[in-house]
Amino acid sequence: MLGIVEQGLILGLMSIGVFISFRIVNMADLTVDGTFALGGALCVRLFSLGLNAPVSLLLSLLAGAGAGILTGFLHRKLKINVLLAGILVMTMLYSINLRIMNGPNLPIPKTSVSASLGTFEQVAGKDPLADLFEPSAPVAAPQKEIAKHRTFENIFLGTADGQDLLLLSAIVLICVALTGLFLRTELGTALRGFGTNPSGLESFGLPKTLMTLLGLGLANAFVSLSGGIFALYSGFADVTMGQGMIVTGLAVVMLGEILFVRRKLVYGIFAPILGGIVYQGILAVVMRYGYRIGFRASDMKLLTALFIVAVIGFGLIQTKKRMKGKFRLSTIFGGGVGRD
Amino acid sequence: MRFKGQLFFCLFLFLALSVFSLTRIGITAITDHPALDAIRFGIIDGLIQEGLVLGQDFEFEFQSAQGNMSTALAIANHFNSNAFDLVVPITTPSAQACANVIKNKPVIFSAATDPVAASLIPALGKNPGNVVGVSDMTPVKTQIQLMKLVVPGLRRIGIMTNPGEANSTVLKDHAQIACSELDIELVEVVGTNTSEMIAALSAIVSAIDAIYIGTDNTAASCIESLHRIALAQKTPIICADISMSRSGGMIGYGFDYYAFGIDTSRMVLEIIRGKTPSEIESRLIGPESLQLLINLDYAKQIGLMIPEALIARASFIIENGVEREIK
Repeated sequence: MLGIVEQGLILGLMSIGVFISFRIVNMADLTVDGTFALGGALCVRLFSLGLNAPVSLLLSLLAGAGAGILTGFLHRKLKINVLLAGILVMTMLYSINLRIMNGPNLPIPKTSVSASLGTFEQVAGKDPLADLFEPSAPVAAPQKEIAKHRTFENIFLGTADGQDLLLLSAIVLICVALTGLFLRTELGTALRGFGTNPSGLESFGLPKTLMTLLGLGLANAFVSLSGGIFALYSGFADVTMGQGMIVTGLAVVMLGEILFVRRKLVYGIFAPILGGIVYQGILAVVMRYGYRIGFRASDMKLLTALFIVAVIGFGLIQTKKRMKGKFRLSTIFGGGVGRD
Repeated sequence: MRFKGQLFFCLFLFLALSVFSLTRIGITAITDHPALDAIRFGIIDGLIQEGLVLGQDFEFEFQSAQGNMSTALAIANHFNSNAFDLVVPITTPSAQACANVIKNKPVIFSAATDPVAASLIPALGKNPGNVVGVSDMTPVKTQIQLMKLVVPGLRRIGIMTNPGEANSTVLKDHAQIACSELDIELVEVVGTNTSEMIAALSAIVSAIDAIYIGTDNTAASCIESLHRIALAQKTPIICADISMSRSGGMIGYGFDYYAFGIDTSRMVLEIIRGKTPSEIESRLIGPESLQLLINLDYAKQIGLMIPEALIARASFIIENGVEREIK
């Protein structure tokens, strides 16, 4: 039960990023799949290099912001469609993440020497076919030392006494509060206005490019931070950890909006957090009981995507009714928060 | 087959509710894949072979994370509830997720190639804590030596590898060491998905003397295509997995993943019978489980002679389209 809420909070934090790009600046940013893994990869790498966990998280947050800014740059300066720009950066990040981790998977180290199992011959002894070959001199596998005389203190303890939950709640609360405050500042208000009416805002002397970079940078900073926290929490980073995150994030944002009728801005930012917890709860229930009726965990992707389609479709019908045929595309991607 | 198993499971689950001495096992894998499914079937069949009755002595629940790390963690949390007595994660990422979340019940990992590098256990053998398991480390050097034995003048081997797979990368490193010992040049044939891998092999196949495929899931998924490409260039393939070599290798030396599941089930059984994980040694699947498959048809097609001494050691021979097992 505790685990569900904890994971929901991490997912919620990621979904704030999706919320900012899809809802506030009104852009379908697909960089997310890459930045989530970037956050995890960089955080674990820095942590194993000897930095402490908060600094590692902060740096991976900045790297995520950088990735978002790159997407924004490709979109605005090179006039690449934002969907394609996001996919391009996501693709770049796959290779970059492999470089960062120097492999596909990097666990959080427990000792200062990176151990490895050794080859089959070293651990299993004699191979049954060994007599067929001429003996050859074995080469010792190099042992790499990560950091000297260091113990690694993870901020997540993995105990069930609620300490991790407390820490996660604190991080999420701080993030929500800071975002809420930021969106109330002049710049934040401009950002929200940009999502609703980009050209109108430009006439006030605020360049589109700056707003795009700011919005996507902020969004991906959240995603990357969440990826870093996920990696510290689960004890490892994997290059595939971001796969499908954008769809999950979008579903979480929509779920939050359904559960949480947003009147004020601050609640709007809380919605993804609540959505994340509920999403994890649903996942747990599906795992617990769905199995008995022949439902497989692998059906979850179909359900998530169908849920998004249903919410958009339903919203469209509602809007059509309300506006009596005056159809606006922004009702699909732009929610209410940006323009209340 | 799988559907049938699910039906049985549903049936037994209801019967099971009234039974007390029931061990509830949570099994998870990072994705759905024939080799991983074979491990799972092996684990269940292994327990049944030892006289345990499904639904009476044990029941199991299988969850696949469909390649999603977040789901893998959610599954680990789900298995951490009171409804499960022990957890068997298959593959490295699933094992990492379970080992990090579950602290107070046995976690028996299966098919994590390098559990030490993955921080699952500090070393093979007995370890304190609740994590124990079986590694699917494969004799890379012997596999490459086999190639050297059958291919005259072997200079260059291409290794099929997906840089996104932990297991595959470990074996690539080991192959690098083995090749430098044997004075062979190793060429990485890299693909992050099946279509990239097929394209990469097509591009390089004429420049290499043999193809080595470790326990790479991506290569396993497109082995038929790799086989066709290799055959057209008269290049032999050696696989580290018997079932993969059945579908397209000239020589396979390794273990059957079903047998691997049976092997894992012995460890599960020890836990069910009351041992704690710290009393059991983490290990490799032993050398005695290694099998050798030789496809003589493939060898004939590309004009290679397999030495009689090697044929005499084979566990399976494929000749004239028929496979026979040699006791």
